[in-house]
Formats: sequence, C-alpha cells, structure tokens
Amino acid sequence: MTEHLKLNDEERKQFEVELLPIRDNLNLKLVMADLRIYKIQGCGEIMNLFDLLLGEFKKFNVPYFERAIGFINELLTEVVTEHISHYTGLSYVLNLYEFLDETLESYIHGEDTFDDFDKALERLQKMFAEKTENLEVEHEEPTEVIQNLPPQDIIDDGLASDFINEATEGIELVESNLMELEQDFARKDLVDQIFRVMHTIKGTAGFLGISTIGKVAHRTEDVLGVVRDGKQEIDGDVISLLFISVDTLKGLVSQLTELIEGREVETVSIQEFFTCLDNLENKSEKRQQQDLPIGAKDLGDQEVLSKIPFDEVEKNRDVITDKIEYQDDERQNLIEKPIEVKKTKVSAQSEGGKASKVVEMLKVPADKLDELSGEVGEMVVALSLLTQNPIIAELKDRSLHRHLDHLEKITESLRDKVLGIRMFPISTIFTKLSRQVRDLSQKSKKEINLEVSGAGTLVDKSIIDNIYAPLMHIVRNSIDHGIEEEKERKVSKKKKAGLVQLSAQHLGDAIMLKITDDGKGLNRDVIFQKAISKGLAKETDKLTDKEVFGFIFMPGFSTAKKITDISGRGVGLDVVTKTVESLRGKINIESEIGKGTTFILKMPLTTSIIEGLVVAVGENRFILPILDVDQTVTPDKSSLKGFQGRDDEFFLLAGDLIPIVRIYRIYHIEPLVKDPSEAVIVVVNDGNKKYGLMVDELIHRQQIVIQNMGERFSGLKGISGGTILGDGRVGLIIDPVSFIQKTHSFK
Amino acid sequence: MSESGNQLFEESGGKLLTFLIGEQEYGIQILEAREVVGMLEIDPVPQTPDFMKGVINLRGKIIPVIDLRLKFRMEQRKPSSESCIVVVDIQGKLTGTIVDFLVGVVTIDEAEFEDSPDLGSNINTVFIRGMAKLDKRVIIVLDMAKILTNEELVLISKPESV
Repeated sequence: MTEHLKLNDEERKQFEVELLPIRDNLNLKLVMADLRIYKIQGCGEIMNLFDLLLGEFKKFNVPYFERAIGFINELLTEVVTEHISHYTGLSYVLNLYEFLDETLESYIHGEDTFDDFDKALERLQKMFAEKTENLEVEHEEPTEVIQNLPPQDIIDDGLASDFINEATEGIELVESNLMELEQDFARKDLVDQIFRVMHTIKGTAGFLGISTIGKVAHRTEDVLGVVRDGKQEIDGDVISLLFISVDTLKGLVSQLTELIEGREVETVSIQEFFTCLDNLENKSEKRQQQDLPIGAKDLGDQEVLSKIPFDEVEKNRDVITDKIEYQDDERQNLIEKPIEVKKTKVSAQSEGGKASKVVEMLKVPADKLDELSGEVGEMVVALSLLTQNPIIAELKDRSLHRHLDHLEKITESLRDKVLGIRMFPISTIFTKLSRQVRDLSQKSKKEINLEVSGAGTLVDKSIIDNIYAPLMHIVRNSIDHGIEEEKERKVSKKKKAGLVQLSAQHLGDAIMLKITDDGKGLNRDVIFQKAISKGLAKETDKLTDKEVFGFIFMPGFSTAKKITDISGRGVGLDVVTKTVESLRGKINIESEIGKGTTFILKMPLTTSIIEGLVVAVGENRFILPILDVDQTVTPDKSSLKGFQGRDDEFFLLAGDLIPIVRIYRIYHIEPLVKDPSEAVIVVVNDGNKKYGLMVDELIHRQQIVIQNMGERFSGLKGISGGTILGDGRVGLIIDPVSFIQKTHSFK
Repeated sequence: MSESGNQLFEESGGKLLTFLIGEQEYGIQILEAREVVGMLEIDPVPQTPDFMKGVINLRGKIIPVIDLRLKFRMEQRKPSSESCIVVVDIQGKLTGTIVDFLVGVVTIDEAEFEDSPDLGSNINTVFIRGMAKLDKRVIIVLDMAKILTNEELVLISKPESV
C-alpha cells in the first residue's frame, strides 16, 4: 500500500465538495454510456471526467486511485477502438468505478484502508489480461459462473423476461419428458420434443447474447442430435446428463432473473454438466471407434466441430465476473429512472367531454412524437413489404391472410391515431386570417366580407406552423389586387362589399385549401406582356391560361402598378410557392377576368409518409411521389419525335407531345437503358405541362417514410428527401416540379 | 495557440481519435466522433463532388459519407477489410468519414501540440487544427467542422445537354 498524507477534516470537506460535481457527472455519464446512446463521445467524456478526478486527487495529494484510473482509461480506449465490445469494456469500467466510488466515499468519511480496493483492482486487471489472452486460445470452462446482465435495451424491450418465461416453460416440459423417457428409452418422440426445446432456447439465447445458457443448451442439443440420428443409444448416462443439463439451465435462468431484478446473485456451477458431457463424449468416441472403424473419422470430425465453444462467437460479451460481488442495485435504479416517465398516465381527451371536467394534458416534446410517427411509418412500410411479398401472396392459407388483414387494420388504425396526435383544426389559422382581413379592409378602404368554411378540418402541425404566411400573402394579394375599388365595383354591377372566401377540405390523403375573391380576376394579357418584358416568354409563345397565370409565381414578378402599403414590393408569390412546395404541396390558380380569382393549395395530410413509386436508374433508386405521377408508359418507337437530328426527345401520348426528360443525363448516371422505347416513362404534371421522366425500370409502389437529408444536401435541386427502402438501401425522393424547373434552368 | 487548438484542449482534454489515411496518421477531437462502423453499402447521391461518396443507412437514419482520401486529393483506393467509417457529430449533424485504418485514442498535452504550420498558399490548412508530435509519431489534427462546411458539399454541375 502506498504511503499517504492524512487530510485534516477541513481538507476532507473541501475534497468532498470539489469532487461532488465530477462524481455526479460520472455517474450520469456512465449510465448513459451503458445505455449506448453515444458510443465514442460517451467514452471520451468519461475519460475526461476521470482525468478531472485524477487532477483533484493530485491536488489533494491522494494518489491511490491513479492506477485504477489508468486502467479505466485503458479499458475505454479498447472500447473506442473496438478491440473489446462496448458491453464487455463497460462492465469492467462500471464494476471498477463502483468500487472506486465506494472506497472514495469511505475515504472522505475518514477511513483510509485501501486493501480491498487494491485487491479488487488487481483481480479485475488479472481477469482482463486473461480474458484478452483468451481471445486467442480456447479457455477452460469455468466452474462457477455469474452471467452478464443482458444489454439494457433487451431488458427494456421485455425480450429478456420473455426469454425467461419461455425458457422456464421449456425446461419444465423437458423435465417431465425426461421422467417419461427414463421409464421407456424407446420413446423417440420425447427425444424430438426435448431437442426442439433445447434448440429454441439455444437460438433465443444466442440472439439475446445470453451466452452461457446458449452454450449449455447448444451442447445438450448436440448430444440429443447424435441420439436422434441413432448414433448413440439412450442409456442411463445420457438421461443423467440431460437431468444435469436441466438443473444447470434452471440455475442459470433463475440467476438471470436475479440479475435483471437487481437482486443478490449466487453463482451457478456448470462444471458438473461439462464433466458429464466430456465423459459421455469420450465414451461414445471409444465405442464408435470400436464398432464402426470406418465411420469413426467422420463422426470424430463432427464431434470436434460441436466442441468449438459457443463463446468463440460470443466471446466478447462473455465476461465472467467470477466472485466479484455484483452490486447492481444502484446502477439499476439509475437506469430505471428515465423509464418511469413512460408510466405517467396519459388521459385521452374525450370528444363529448363536459367543459367543467378538467382534461389531464400531457406535455410531450415534439421530437418524441416525430420519432413515434417515424417508427410507425417504418412499420407500415415493413408490413406492406410483407403483404406484397409474392411468396406470401401466393399462399392459399386462409387463416394466414385473415391474420395479415387483421394486422394491417391494426397497423393502419395505429398509424391514424399516431398521426392524429399531430393533427389540429385549421381554425386557428383561419381566425388569425379573419383578423388580418379586417385590418386590411380598413387600411385599403375596401369593404370586405369574409366567408370561412371547413374550419374544423384537421391538418398536421407542421402545416399549421407553416401555412399561415403563404395564406396571408394570398389573402393580401386578393384584397389589394383582386378586389376592386368601390367605384369600380359599382360600374361592373358587383356588390359594394368585396367577398373573400376561405375553405378547407380533405381530399383523400390530401388537404385542399381555397382562397377565392370576387374581384377583377387576373388579366392574362398584362401578365403575358410582363412575362415577355422579363424574358420569361416570347411574343410568339402560345400558352394556356394556366401557364400564363403560372408566371405570377416567378420571383420578382409583380403586376401591381403602384406599390401599396399592403403588397406589391416584388417579394411576391414565389415565397408562397416555396413554402407550399416545402410542405410537398402544389398551388394552382383559376381566374376569370371580371369575376374573380381562386388560389387552390393541395398538400398531403402529413409530411412524413407519402405513397411513392420506386424506380431504378442505373445503380440508383429514386422515388417519385404518386401525387405527381399521371401515368407510366413505354412509348412505341413510332410515337417518338424529335428535331435537329434527334429523334427521341418527345413522344406522342393521346395527342399531347410530351418532352422526355432523362434522369440519367441530368444526374450523370450510367443507365441500363438509353432508348426510350425500351425504358419506362413516368409522366408527371407540374401543374401546367406534362413531362415524361425516363427511368430504367419501375420497381414497385409503396408507402415511403420521408427522411430529411439534412442541410448538407439542401442545395440539391430536385431531391426533396430520402428514405430507407425494404432492402436497407437508401432511395432518393425526386420532387418532379423542382426537378423539371432545374432542367429548365439549363436551357 | 489558435482558437481551434484551444478548443481541442478545453472540450476534449487533448484526447484524439486517430486513424490512418495512407501512411499518415490523422486525429480528430474525440468529442467530435460518435461511433465507428465497418464499411456499409454506400448509395451515391447525384450532383455532389467526388469526395461525397453518398449516403448510408445507419440503423434507419440516412447520413452522408465522405471520403477523406478524395477530399485530400489523394488517389482513390478500394476499401480494404481494415477500412471503416468514423461517424462524426458536428452540432448534432452526423457525417460518416471513410478512413483506411483506425488507430486508437491518444491524449496529447499542450506542449506536444503545434498550430498548423504555414505550408504556403498551395496547401489549404483551414481544416487543420494543428500537429501533434509524440515521439516518432506526427499526428495531423483535423477540424471536422471545417471539413464539413456546407459550401463544398453540394456541387451543382452542368449537364452536357438536355
């Protein structure tokens, strides 16, 4: 033991005070690291905190823990570089830190014996060193084991307790089967049943990383396999091995329960099982060699194979904590804290609830909801992949399809409910707009009547949050440029007061918002002239009304002759288009001169899930939103048209000449197909005109959970997001409208 | 010391996660690293510069992956069994970085650290925090935030013709 200076009371107190924040932080960070939220950062932070701790120790001349902290840092480095698993490394660190923390606590309270701590440290270091060596060599089976606590997420998911129940039931079954088998060795059906149970236990244990149980079940299964294949007679030795296996498994399972529940844990001996197993195998090898000299070699190999310990695979998880007491209570408590939140009662708001009754509300961070709806979305997709799976679709099993239908209904209802949490009536927006209309009406000295319908229509929170500004813009526009002055209205025999109508309604999976005024309507010619002067159109262009009206959404396009207080500063409707597009919506105008104008906004109900068409271009997968797709065709050679020596730049579809836009050319991808008559053309509509996007092939249609690609890709034109496809690859979502605008800008 | 160097010692206590690109050892501030994953399938994203290799599916999240070899104008090399992706976290934004070999964690103290030397106008040292000298090792300490500025990451290239 190292010599040390005794601290006096005052120094001790100060020592405690200075250490406190570091220790608190360490406790928190260690638990977080255990939950594997941030891997490397977690380890880095923990290392820093230990450094701070070490600094304090040096300052107060308390050198005892230097070695321990050095060891901890070594462990963490091994974790970061993935030389040992996160789980193994942290088990050591946590064990050691708990000891350290305790010893520190007693030191602060006046004790200064470090013998226990030193011993514990040495033991851990020795075990770690052995373990690292054992990574290379097969090690002896330990006689007494304490298993690891399974990973926290498995405990949280209830998988561990499911496993315990399943295993307990299974073991009971095996036990009763064994009793019968003992009476009658000829009962092969019992052997099969025991084999199946062991197989299940092995499989699940392997999946959950509960390696000791897996190992015992695995070796038992091996023996049963040999018996089943008739290569080994059932005799007293086999039966007694199976009984020992059952007892060992029972012990291990109940130890696992103790671990998870944070109770005191007792060691379980697995030596008897392995000794018995070895005896049996030796005996059987000998006999095989005597009886079947030719087949012996084969079987020998097989035996060797089965002897490769299970933990070769799972070795990293397999820390055998030997006899160190696993004081788990505190750690367990810490881990459980965040879970309590889940237990908070959620009280649903009843529709017909009386006003006097206080509805208990729960404030939940929005990103939690986003996560939830994201995950439900993934589930919807996963299920649709399952139901669309050709093998499943072909199966004629009625009950299977009934169950699938049922699952689909539940999933859909779950999705609707989750999305419903984010839905709010649009009335909040309409109310705000009404006030604005009143103000505007006073400012512009125009009398305005406002009619509102569909205010109860529910829309996603993200739409509520974003739609006010564009709607405001349109309403201003209507009042300022649409509705005429009083005199003018008199001349055209309109009512004195102008009328502005706001309406909202659901349209399938979309929401439609309309803003209608009974003003003078858009003047096609004025807009067209302006477009020509801005170089957006040519005198000779023959454009439809829709196309002409489309110009007013261009940046810097304002036809207002004078700039008023209200609008007409050139910051125009292009902002509206941008917002609506960011919500994956579309905007259209209908207008008749002298009668009025209607702006129609269509947006998907939610911004997180869309129905999409998955297409392939070369190696890439793209998704085209179904809302934008008119149809898909493979054009005949004869319908392909072109000019200037190119003969496949357009194709004829029901009398329309549709330009072919080659995605591969724009994105510089090497496609499989370059000839439009062999490719697939996806016809999309940007509101005015049709375009044919050329792709190699259609993969399928499915619901897509949209993920934001983040700021890094915000400059990518034409791509509005990404999604994880069924095979785990990433598909990019093309926004046809901005994609086509992009192709225009190159003309 | 430069601000970027100070940051290294204040935030990460001089701890670096180091890796090799070619023969040279590079380090990043440990708190900038989130995790290390093996090579995953990378899906290309059109219209991005060479060094932007594409996107990966990291347990359900789409994150971009860059290749530092290309960013540093070194020749491209096929990923080996030792290549891996270091996922860095800059203000909550995750980006994968392909490296040839993960070395480990090293703690340097301020005496071992030097600000990035002026290598003349030909070499861009903006994204270098400095150099660390340990015995015979020289570690170039990168500033991932600077490497991952948005500007260069999306490159709108003109098509030959439409």
